[in-house]
Amino acid sequence: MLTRRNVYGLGGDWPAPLLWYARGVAAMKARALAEPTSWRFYAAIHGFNKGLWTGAGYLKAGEAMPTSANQKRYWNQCQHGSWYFLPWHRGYLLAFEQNVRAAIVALKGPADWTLPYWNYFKPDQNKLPPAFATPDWPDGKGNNPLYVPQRYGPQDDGNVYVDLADVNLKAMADPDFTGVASGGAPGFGGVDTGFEHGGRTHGGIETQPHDWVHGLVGGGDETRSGLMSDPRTAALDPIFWLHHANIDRLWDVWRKNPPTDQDPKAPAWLKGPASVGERAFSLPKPDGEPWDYTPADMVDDHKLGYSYDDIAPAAPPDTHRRRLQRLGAPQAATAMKPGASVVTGKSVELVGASPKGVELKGSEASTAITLDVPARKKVTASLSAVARGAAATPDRVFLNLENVTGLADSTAFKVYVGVPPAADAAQHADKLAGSISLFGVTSASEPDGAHGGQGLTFVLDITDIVDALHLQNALDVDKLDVRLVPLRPVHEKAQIRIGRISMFRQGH
Amino acid sequence: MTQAARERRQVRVPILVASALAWGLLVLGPASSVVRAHCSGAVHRLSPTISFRMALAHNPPGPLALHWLVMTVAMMLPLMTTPIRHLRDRSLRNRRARGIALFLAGYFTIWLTAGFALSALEWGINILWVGSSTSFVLVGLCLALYEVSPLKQACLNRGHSHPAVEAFGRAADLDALRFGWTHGAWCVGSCWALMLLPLLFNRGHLAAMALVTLWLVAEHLEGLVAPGWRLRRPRKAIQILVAESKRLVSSLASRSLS
Repeated sequence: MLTRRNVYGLGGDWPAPLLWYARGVAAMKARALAEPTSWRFYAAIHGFNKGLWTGAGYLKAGEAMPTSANQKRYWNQCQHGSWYFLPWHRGYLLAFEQNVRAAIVALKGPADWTLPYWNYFKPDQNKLPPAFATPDWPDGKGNNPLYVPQRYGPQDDGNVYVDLADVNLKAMADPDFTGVASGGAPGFGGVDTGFEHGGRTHGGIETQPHDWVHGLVGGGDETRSGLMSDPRTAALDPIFWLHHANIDRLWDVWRKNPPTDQDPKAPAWLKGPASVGERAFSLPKPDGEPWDYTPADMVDDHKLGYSYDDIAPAAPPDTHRRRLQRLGAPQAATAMKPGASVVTGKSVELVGASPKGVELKGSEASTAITLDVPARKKVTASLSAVARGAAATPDRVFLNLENVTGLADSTAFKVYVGVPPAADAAQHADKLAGSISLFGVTSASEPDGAHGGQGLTFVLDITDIVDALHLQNALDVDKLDVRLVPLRPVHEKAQIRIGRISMFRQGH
Repeated sequence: MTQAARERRQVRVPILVASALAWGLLVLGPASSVVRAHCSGAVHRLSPTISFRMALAHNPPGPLALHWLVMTVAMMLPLMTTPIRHLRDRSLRNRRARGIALFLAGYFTIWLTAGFALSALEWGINILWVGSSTSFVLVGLCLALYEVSPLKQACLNRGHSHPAVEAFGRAADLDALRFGWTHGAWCVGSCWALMLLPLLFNRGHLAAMALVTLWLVAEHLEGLVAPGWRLRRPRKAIQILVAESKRLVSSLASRSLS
């Protein structure tokens, strides 16, 4: 059994596993693009775009491309906006790790080498690991293969870090793996789809921390994009793999809370899209031969031969119990087993929406959601019923940012709900609904892209905010203010536009 | 079954039932007989102007519109699950039915307008080029050319776009209607040549319609690609059929073993 370890726990700036990683990456980078085990071929499996690659210096004019059959089988395969997001990326990590290990072994390196993970949630570990931030090898000579100049960071100044105040693990509290695309919970793992290379609605763990970290590390703007900011270039950056190892680890952490927090049992998920005639998940092994896999193959990493050194719970497990206490049902809360979760109700309904067309430019944008009185009363009744002891599963409430389009994947912003128009949003942390990074927005906005240019939809769980408004008797209003605050001012050339901001309830 | 699958079924089942009823009307009813009767050889020996007037006389607007409505419900409704779901999901509960009705009104208005144009085109083709196999081949080639054109692909791509809609009042009604006719326009753009095809057959009209419907469904299963000149093969539909056949064979084999 091999163990993947925290990169910051390996010791020093250039611990041996990172040094070997760098050597393995260098070996893969030395291979021609057409070779299925080359660095760039593996990156193109996640996503490829000729213009972006050429602009970033990863594709030369007239360079020999892989065979058409290999491109069709392997390239542009990453699963986003889909319940296949986690299992597809687990297979991708595994195959990549095996390829790097094979390169390391060929260099007389350790046969038990594993990919480290970057746990940016830990204090003092949220900065880009030093070995990735220097253009030099440890001996001071240049050409460090882990270094990428196209990492601009959250402030676009090349200082790459993940602000602990902005990244969160709220998705870990979602008891359901599979979500819905109808406005309710997008689930921990994503929405039930077919093969989806760029799906519309991102799942909980995909939105935060996955997308957010991609956007912050890559950075950039409408004129230049960091490699990590765009799915079509992200896997060219060596830090991509450590970020995804952390996401993969969080999947294991999430599953530590049965009887909820279970992987899907649906055959369509277990057997994967190939079982219904769609494209198979397929990756090249170190010998160049294809390896096809399904989500069912990915559910047990111990069977796959690896584990993580730390899968301690990452979020308070008794979210629902605390909620019942907050809503005035201490007895129901006490009756609940510590850590137990409750599966969300199935009824999803629109409660209110803003007018169409919210433009995000400059340092702030705001709009107001008009609430439908009958739907709002259902939410209030559901919350009140808990205090009366008449129900133990109050509605959950979600904010949807629908049809988000634009030309800058690196755009990242915070969303506040219920902050008065004249107030400073930064002073209202309790009204922060979430943070969104528009990973994949450019390709989702192309009229001839996967979904006809309709853009992406992000779903934020605002149950806590709505609970607080209810308890303050501030929910019986006609409108709720929504404020969007970008990390950096957004230029109008980025053309960031949100089709509509809406509020949904999900309950019984 | 996942909740998303249940939500899909909630919309898909009534749509398929409505489509099946429309197919029933087409098979059992006289809906398409007038056009076919007009296209008999005796009429075609008359001058084009007289033939066209006779075609108009035999196909008054009311029954012709009804014919096209039934035909498009039968053939096009199975393709509408996703846009109808989108509108249903994004509308207030008490406005869902109204929104979908307005969407369908907009959608079928576009198709009825296109239907009149396609009928006129069909009459023209039949009257001017009756009996000429060369002309028939020429028309076929023109339709085939459109089918492989970038314009067709652009229409297919845009038909996959589902916009944000207003939630309240007249603005919501107008958006539902606008979504319907916009979707209808892209649908006409991508399907008109295939819809014209069955009309050109004097015999086997319904069989041709059924084949075209299957082709349209297969075509909509394909992923979107950049517009360009290309043959569109129903790869995904074939793969689905193969996968389902394998599953059926394996299920039958395991049953017979047990």
